Amino acid sequence: MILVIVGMHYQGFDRLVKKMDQIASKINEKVIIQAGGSTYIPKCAESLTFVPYDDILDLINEARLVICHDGAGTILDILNSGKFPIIVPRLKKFGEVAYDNQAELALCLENKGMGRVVFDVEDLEDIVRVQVGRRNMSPGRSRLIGVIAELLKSIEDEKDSRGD
Amino acid sequence: MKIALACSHGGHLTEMLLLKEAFEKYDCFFMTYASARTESLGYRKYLIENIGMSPLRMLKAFISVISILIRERPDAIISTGAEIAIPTFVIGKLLGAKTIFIESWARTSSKSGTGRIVYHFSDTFFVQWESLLDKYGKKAVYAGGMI
Repeated sequence: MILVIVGMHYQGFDRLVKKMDQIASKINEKVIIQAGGSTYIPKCAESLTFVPYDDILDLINEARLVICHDGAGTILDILNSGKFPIIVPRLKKFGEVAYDNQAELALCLENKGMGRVVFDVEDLEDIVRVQVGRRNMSPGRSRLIGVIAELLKSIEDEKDSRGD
Repeated sequence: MKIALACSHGGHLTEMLLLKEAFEKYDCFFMTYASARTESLGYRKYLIENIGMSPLRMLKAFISVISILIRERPDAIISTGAEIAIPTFVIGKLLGAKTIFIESWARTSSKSGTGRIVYHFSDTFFVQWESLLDKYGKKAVYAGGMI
């Protein structure tokens, strides 16, 4: 199953939804599109608008391939599920986002080999036909957690020594 | 020790929850926006109206935050953004709390609107990408990130 996530953002992403619906009509695999604020209604793919968070995590786990907008939360959910996202940045010129931060996050991740960025939706058909799946991630997260925990401990020690 | 956790309800909440091992052993409570997701958030919480870009809702948020922080008196306030960090840190600092900001994981080389403002109200300011360090002043620290 191929999952497409457009996220919780109020602006739609018709460019991606239309293309994935078109691809769904040409391939044998099931395509589910979480279309969010998009106005285009898929004819071939199964379509959802806004989905409860746990349901999205279940769908991500089930999917062979996840294609998504460049939302940080969406990307995190996909990476933490051990998948390799195909990220299609929203572009201001198409009314998909209010500002262009030039897909900086998506490009950084691609640089680290953790995802792939696709600016032109015409490229998606070839990508979809190839099996993609990765399971390794290297979290700097436990480091950040450790540093914050130490900081909180020092705040607590300072408070205790003041006798509060 | 009591900790306030201030964040919006989408990806910013996801980032906050991914750091929970750092704070969950303390007495903590969330200050976040009302939504289906936060209604079922399994922590003590205060849900306020999404500020977005509205000056009126920012004003209302300041009023809510003053009343929450005076009642709770947290020792520390952690925020992953977005704009809810602004009233929380301003009032928090006035009430003597330590403020810890974690800039969004999405910000790899450009500063967020919230980050620019709360930098001046943060005791500790984390960026999640080294490429962002030179955009902020010397208070900014890199100590890892979501991934």
